[in-house]
Amino acid sequence: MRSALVGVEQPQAGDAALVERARAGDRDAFARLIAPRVDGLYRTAWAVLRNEDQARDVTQETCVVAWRELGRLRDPGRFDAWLGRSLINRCRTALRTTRRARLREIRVEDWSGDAAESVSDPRAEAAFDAIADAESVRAAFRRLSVDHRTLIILHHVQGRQVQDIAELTGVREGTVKWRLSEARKALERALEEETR
Amino acid sequence: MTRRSIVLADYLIRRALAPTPDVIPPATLLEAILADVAITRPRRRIVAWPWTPETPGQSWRSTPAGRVAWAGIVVALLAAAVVGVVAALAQLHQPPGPLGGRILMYSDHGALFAVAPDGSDPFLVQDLDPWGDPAWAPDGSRFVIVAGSDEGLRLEIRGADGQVEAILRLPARSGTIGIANWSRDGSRIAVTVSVRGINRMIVYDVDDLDAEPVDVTPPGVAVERSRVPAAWSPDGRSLTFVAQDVHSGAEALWVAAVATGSARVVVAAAQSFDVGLGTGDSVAAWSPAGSLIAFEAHDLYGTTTFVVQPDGHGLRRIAPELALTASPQWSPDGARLLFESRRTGREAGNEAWTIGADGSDLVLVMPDGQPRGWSPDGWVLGLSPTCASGINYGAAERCRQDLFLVPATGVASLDDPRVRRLLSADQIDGLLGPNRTGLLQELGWPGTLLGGDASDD
Repeated sequence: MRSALVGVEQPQAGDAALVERARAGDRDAFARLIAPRVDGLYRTAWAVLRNEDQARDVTQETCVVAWRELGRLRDPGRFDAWLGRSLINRCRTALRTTRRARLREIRVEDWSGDAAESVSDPRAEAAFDAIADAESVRAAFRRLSVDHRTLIILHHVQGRQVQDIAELTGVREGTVKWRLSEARKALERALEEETR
Repeated sequence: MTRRSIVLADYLIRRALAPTPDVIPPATLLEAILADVAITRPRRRIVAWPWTPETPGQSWRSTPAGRVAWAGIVVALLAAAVVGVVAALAQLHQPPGPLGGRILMYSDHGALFAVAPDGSDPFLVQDLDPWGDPAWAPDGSRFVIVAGSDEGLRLEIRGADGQVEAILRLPARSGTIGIANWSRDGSRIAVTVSVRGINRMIVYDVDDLDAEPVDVTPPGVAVERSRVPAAWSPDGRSLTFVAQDVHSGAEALWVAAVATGSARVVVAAAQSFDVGLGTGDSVAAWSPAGSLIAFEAHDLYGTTTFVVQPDGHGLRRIAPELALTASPQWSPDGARLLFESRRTGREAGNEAWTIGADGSDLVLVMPDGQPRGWSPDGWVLGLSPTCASGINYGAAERCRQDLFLVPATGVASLDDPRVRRLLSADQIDGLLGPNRTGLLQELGWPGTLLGGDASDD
């Protein structure tokens, strides 16, 4: 069964033939190949980027570039891994570039001193010690680097194994393990900062 | 106040971050993709072999057309071999280094490449691990880079040829490493290192790597997790960075004396604005004469830029008529400040502006593009977005980019004949190779950007 969360689907029977046809320029074959994958790709991009517009753009760009570059894929059986890596790379680019641009606009009506007051409320701190609030985790997640975000989504949310992530991200398994640990610590530290 | 130590359970991470069932792609997304596909051609097609033998075992070369084709192939191969030999010989006579004087660029996928200031002779210097973040020594002879391994992160000094020259000692229990920054004379490196969860500003003496690195972080504060390096003063005696009080969370612009480690607040957050951006990538830049510091802040409307004297006097916001201003960089002569802006309500694309050091003479240098620094002769280095046709990009920064220089007096459009085009997006893609985008994260001349002090010339 296909998980709605997973952006890179398990290869289905006949997919390799579709990849071959698409590589030869068959647009219908590409459409049949990509249609069942768009949902998962979008959800993966959304999970990393936490932004609908960016997720849409990244998904669209990944698919269109896949069509354009499909001739360079040597092994049709690795289409999904190739597509997934492309998506992750584009998420990284979107995040890094967004951070690089650095110009941020906030709506005046969103500005309020209430947030600072609530953090200093001792009752809120006590409540947090009991259970990590999901919203705080999401806010902490937004503080993370691109690489940390990606790893946390792939492993902790999508449940991907280290070997799978190594293939997607193009690094060795041992490195993935270490980076996963670092990413998790970073999230915990960010959560501490978020709730301080 | 004691620090909490939070350990997150897997299920909490999953619960908080997993997309909810209502996270679904827009109904028009697949349609938009297929519309793009319909007007986009694959870059390379596999073409069916057009010839079948009339008799078993017949070679295609035995046909008249086959003989002509075979002769063509042989001639083409010979020509290619000759060209290859000539190119190899030319390469022997023109090695990539030294890199000094070239524009150095670092892509979002860890590729480091260089191009001559006139746009000629671009080449890939190295493919670096994506951890990357190289910072070039002012003379371009070597760089410092964050490298990852199974054992953890480390900070390496490498020569321009990529060979590791030294590994810098990190403090015990160190974690994340920010972007390093060389002092103007190339003798020291400052870098943000997370030590036991608190970001510290560490300074290395490059001429004496056996010496203990110096922690110049003021007590009770954490340096902003820095994607942009701290700024060295022109005389190399002081470092400026944004740091946060670990108890109150208030951010301030600090100046630390490297020799003594003493530090003081130059600008504290005020009722009307916060110092820094609160995102770990706030820029501060000393003017070349050391008389002013430009820094980013955050006010009611978003990112803004201020200048202040190093003693804290003379604080003023630059270009108050522009709602959003960021990324200040001083011209080599210190007379003008380059920054980027995006007018409120504008959906995409930034503008490059300059303003006199005294706050007068605001000039729009470049519409629709990102300024990335000054050339040594006072031109503005910029990147323009180039959106591939048929792809509905939502924001300019996600488009492919051209690299160019514009005169500091400004141009109305990038079609102005005075604009010097250095590299096209296609050329950048060609340098990077297949399946990679050409988005550039950092670039500039050694000592001006790419981890160098943006205020230095």
